[in-house]
Amino acid sequence: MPTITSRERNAIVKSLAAGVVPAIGLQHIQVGRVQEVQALLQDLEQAEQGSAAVRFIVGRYGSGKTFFLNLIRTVALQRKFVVAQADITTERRLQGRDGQARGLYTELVRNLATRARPEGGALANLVERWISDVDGQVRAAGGDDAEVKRTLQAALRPLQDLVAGFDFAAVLTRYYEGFLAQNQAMQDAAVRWLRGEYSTKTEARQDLGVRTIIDDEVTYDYLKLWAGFTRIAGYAGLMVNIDELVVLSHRLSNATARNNNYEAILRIVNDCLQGTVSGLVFLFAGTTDCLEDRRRGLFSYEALATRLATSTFATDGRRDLAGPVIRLENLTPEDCHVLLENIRRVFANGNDVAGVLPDAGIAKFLEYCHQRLGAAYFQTPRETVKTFVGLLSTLAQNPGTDWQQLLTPESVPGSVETPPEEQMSATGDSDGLTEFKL
Amino acid sequence: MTEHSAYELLASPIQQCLWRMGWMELRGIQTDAIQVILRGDSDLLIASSTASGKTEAAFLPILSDLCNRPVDSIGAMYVGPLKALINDQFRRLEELCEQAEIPVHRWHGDVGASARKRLLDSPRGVLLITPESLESTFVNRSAQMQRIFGGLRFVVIDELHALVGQERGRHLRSLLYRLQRRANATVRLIGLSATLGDWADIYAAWLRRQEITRVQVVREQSGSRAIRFKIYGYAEVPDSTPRALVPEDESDAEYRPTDAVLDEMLAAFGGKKCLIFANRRTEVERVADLLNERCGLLGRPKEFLVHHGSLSKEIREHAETAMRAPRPCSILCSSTLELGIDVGSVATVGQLGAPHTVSSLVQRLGRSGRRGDSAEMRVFLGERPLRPESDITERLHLELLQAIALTELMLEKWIEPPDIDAIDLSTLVQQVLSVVKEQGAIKAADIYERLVATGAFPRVAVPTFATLLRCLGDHDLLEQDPTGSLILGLEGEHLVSKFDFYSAFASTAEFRVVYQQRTIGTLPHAAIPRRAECFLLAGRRWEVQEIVERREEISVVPAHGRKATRFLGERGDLHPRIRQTMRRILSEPTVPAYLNSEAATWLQDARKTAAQAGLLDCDWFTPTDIRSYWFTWTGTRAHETLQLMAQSVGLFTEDMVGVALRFGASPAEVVQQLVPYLRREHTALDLASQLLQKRRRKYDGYLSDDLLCLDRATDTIDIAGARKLIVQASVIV
Repeated sequence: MPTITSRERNAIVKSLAAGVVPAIGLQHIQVGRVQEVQALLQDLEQAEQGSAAVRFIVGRYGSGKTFFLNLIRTVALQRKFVVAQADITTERRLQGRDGQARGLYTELVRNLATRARPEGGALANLVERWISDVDGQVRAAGGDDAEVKRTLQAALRPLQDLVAGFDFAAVLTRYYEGFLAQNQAMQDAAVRWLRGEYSTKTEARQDLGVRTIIDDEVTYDYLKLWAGFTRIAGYAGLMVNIDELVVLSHRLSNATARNNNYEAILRIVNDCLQGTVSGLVFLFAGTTDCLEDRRRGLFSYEALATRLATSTFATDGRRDLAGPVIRLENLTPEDCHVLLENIRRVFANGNDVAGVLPDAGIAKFLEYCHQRLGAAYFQTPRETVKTFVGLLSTLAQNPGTDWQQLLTPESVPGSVETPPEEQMSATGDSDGLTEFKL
Repeated sequence: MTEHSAYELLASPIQQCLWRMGWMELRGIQTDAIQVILRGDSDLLIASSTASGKTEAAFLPILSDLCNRPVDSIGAMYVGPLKALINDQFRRLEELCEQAEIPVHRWHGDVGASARKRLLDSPRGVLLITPESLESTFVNRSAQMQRIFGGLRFVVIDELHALVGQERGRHLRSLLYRLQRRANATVRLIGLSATLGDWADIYAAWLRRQEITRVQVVREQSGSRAIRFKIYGYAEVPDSTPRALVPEDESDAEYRPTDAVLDEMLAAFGGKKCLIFANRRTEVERVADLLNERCGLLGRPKEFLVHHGSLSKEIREHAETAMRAPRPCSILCSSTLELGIDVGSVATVGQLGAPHTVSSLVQRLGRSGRRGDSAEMRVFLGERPLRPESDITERLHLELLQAIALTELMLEKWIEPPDIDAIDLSTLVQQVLSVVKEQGAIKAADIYERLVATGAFPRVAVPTFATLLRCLGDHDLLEQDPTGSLILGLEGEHLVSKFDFYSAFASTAEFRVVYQQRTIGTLPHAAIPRRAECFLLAGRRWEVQEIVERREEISVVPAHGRKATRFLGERGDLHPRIRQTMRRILSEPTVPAYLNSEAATWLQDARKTAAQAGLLDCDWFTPTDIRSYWFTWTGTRAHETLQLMAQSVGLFTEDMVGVALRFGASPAEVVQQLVPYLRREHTALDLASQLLQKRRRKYDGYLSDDLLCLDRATDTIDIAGARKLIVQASVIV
C-alpha cells in the first residue's frame, strides 16, 4: 500500500470536507471508473504517437467529473504530458471579444503543469529547460551562439507551418537572446507575451519587436502551437482540461455569445477528430444538461449535436467509449464502500483504521445515505464523501463519541448541498423560497 | 456656526477654486450642507428653488471629502433624470473638479465610446449618470461593478421629486440598494429637490427606509419671492385655415384661438426669453405653429421653438442653445424642460391649459426669474364656446376651476405627497431579470433577499414573489438549472439584450420622421399619419412622402397644410385636495385678482350654474327622474373606484371629466345599490378583478391575472375613499 505524505493527507481531507476535488494525492482514494480511465489512456497513447483526441466528460452535478479530470491529469503528467487546466467563467471562455478568450488562454497557460511542477506555473521552466538543453548540447559539440540559434530555429521550423507559428518562434528566439545576454527583462517580457498578458501591440513591439499579440482571435492557434512545442521539447504532448462547460450553456445569457463559443468547440472537435493537429488532447467536463439541452446546451448547435450524439445502441448499461462523450455513471455501492474505506485510510494516516471508524460504521453510514429520500437520484459521490469526511472529523475531534449515536437518522444533516446564503435567508421571512421550484 | 467655519471645512483645492471663481459668499443651504456632510455621516435632503446652488451645496463638501480621502474607484455618483441635465451639471462640475484634480465622468445614452473607455480603464472621482445607464452597467458590466463602485461613498440624486413615486423612482431605488452591495462602506445618499412641501418625511423614508432619522434636511430660508401671475381665459373659434390635403373627418374639427388672443400671447411672450409649457405634445406643436404663423403675418421674426420628448436630440439641443443665446426667443415645451436644465434666464413662464399637479405648477413657475427677480407666469386657458345643449360639467368651467385651485394651493405652499407605497410588480419583473442577468445564476431566495427583504419592494410577500417568478418561468423569461438556481430563459435573454430594457417606464414603439436624411423626431406607432397627410413636428409643417414600415421611418417634405399631430398622451392622477379646493372655490364669493375679465366671467357663470343646480348644498344634480349626476369632488383613485363599484353592480354610469359620475338612475337607487359595498367582504382585490384594462405598466404583460389584480388593487384602487363617498351620499339622499 503506498504511503501517504502529510501534505497529501491535508489536501485530501480539507478538499473533500469542502466538497471540492483535491489537486494531489488522488491515487490514494480513487476507485472504480476502470473503463473510463482505460479509454482515456488510449487517447493519451494516440497523442503520444502524434495524433489528437477530444473527450467530453458528462455527468450530474457532483458525480465526480472534476475528480475524474484531476485523476486523468495526474496520469497524463506521469506519462510526460504537459497539462493545462482551467474552469470556464463568463469572463474566461473559448470565444469572446472583450478579452474573454484571452482570459481563458492566460489561465490555461498560467496553470501549465509538468511532472516536475504538478501544481502549475511551469511555462518559464519549460521554455528555459529546453533552450538550455539545446544550448548545452550544441556547445558540447563545439558550437557557438550562432550555431545554437540556428539549431533552435531549425527545431522550431515545423511550427512555422501553423497559424501564428512564425511569431511564436520569434518570441522564443527573443527569449534565447535574453538568455544569452543575461537580459532578464527580455526573458520576462517573452514569457509574459507567451502567457498572453500583453494587451496592446504597441507595447509588444517596444518590448520584443514583434508586431502581434495573443488576442481573442488566435488563442486556440496558440494552444496548437504549445502542443507542437511540447513535443519538440521532449514531452509527449499537451493535454488541455476545460471544466465547467455549464457556464457556457446555463450562465452565459446571450445567445450569440453562446453560439460563438459552441462554434469554437466545434472547431476543436473537428480538428481533433480529423487528426489535423498532433500531440493534443482536449478534455471538456460539464453536466448532462449542458450537453443535451436542445435549447441552450451543446446540442442546440446542430453541428455539435450530430458529432457528439450517443451511439443509438449504447443504452441500458451498454457503453460506447469510442465516441467523444464519456458519461460518468454513479458509483456502484461496492465502489462507494471502497471509496469510503480509502478515505478512512487517509484519515487514519497509517494508524489503526478501525480506531477511526470500524467497518460496521461504514456499512451503517452507507445504509443511512440510502435511506434518504430520492437517494437513487440525488445521492452523488460528492455529497456522500463530504458528509463522510464531516463524520470522521467530528469523531476525531470529539474523542469518546459513539459513532452509532451519530448515525441515528435525525443526526446526519439533511441537505449538505445547501449553500450558506440560503441558510442565512432561511432564518428571515423568505422561508417559502428556499425550496423554490419554477 | 458661521459661514467662515463652513468655508474652512472645505479642502484647500476647493477653497482655492472658489476664490479663483470669485465667489463672494456661501449661501445658507451651502454652509448647512457643508456642515452636515463633512461633520457627520447622515444622509441629506436639500430643498431649495431652481438655480439656488443646490448642486454646489452637495458637491463642495463631497469633493472636499474626496480630496482628503481619495479612493481608487468612483467616489461619488450623481444621478439625474435627464441627459441634458447631466450634460449641464457636467459643465458645472468640471470647473470645480479641475482644480482639485478629481476626474468627472458622464454616462448616458449619448456618451461616446472613448469617454466610456476612459471611465472603465480608470474609474475615479465623480460619475454623472442616468438611472437607465446605471441599469445598463448592472446588466452589461457586472464583473466590473466592484472595481467601479467598490469605494463609492456618496450618491447625489437630483430632481428627487421628479423620480420619487414614479416607476423610475422605484427603479432607481432598487438599483441603489443593489449598488450598496457592491460598495465597501455605507453609501451616503443626498437628495436634491426644488419642492418637498410638507413631505420631507416621505422623501426621507424613500432615501433610507430603515432609519429615516439618519436623514437630515437642509432648506432654503426663503425670502419670499414676489410672484406675478395671471390666468387668461379665451374662447376658441373653429379653425378655418387650409389643413391637410386629405379630406377630414368632420368630428375631427379643430378649434383655435382668435387672432386677438394670439396677439395677446405675443404681447406676453414676444421679444424676450420665455418657456411655455403645455400638457400635451400635440398642444405644443399646434400653438407653436399658430404663433409663428401669426408672427409671419405681422412681419415679425418667428421666434417660437419647440422642445419635447419626441424630437431628435439635435433639435432639442438647438432649442436649448438658442435659449442661452442673446437673441429673443421662446420655447414651447412639454414637461421636458420642467426640470432644471440650464436654458439661461427666463423672463416669463407660460402655461397652456391647467396643469395636473401643484408640484408641476410650482416647478414650472420656478423656471422664471432666477435669483431674486420676481417669478412671472401667464396661464392661457382656451375653451370651446358653450352651446345650448352643453352639459352641466362644461358649464362649470372645470379647467378654470382646476387652474384656480392649483394656484390657491400653491399660494398655501401645499404640494402633493409622493406615493412611495406602490407595489409596482412591473418594475419588480424588470429588476428580477436584471439581477439574474447580473449574477448569471441565482437562487430564488437570494433574489428575494436582494430585491424585497433588503430592497426597494418591501410590500411584496413571499407567495406573491414566488408566483411572479413562476409567471416569468411560464413566459420563458427564467428557467431553473438542476442546482435550483434561476437563470435567464431564451426569451429572457432576448428581452434583456434589447436596448429599451434599461428603462422601467414604458416607451411606445415609434417611427422616425426623416427629412433629407436628418431625423426630426419620432411619432408613436399607433398615431402615425397616412401618406400625403400633413402634420406638425418641431414647430414646422410636414407632409408625409413615404412610410417605410421595414425601417420604421417616415420620410417627409415641408408643407403648407396644418393638422394637429397625434401623440399618445398620459394622464396623471389628481389629488383629492385639488378637487375639494375646486368645490370650495365654487362656493366662495371672491374673484381672484389674477383672472382676466373673460376668466372672471367664467368663474361667476360657473358659480351661478352650481347654485342653480343645487351643487353648493349637495353633491347631486338631478335634471330628470331617471338621470342624475354625482359630483364626487375627490381624487382620481377614489372617483374611479366608485365608478368601478357602480359598474360591477350593473349601474349604467359615465365618467364626466373626473369630477362627476352620470347615472341613468335616481340618486336613491344609486346609493341603495352601492351601500352593500360598505360591508367588509368586498375587497379591493375583487374590484380590481372587474377592471377591463388591467395592464398599464411596461412588464405587466408577463404577470398572471391574479398578480395584475393585486397590483391594481394596491396601487390604483382607493376602496376607503370610495366608501367615504358612499357613506356621505347615504346620509344626504
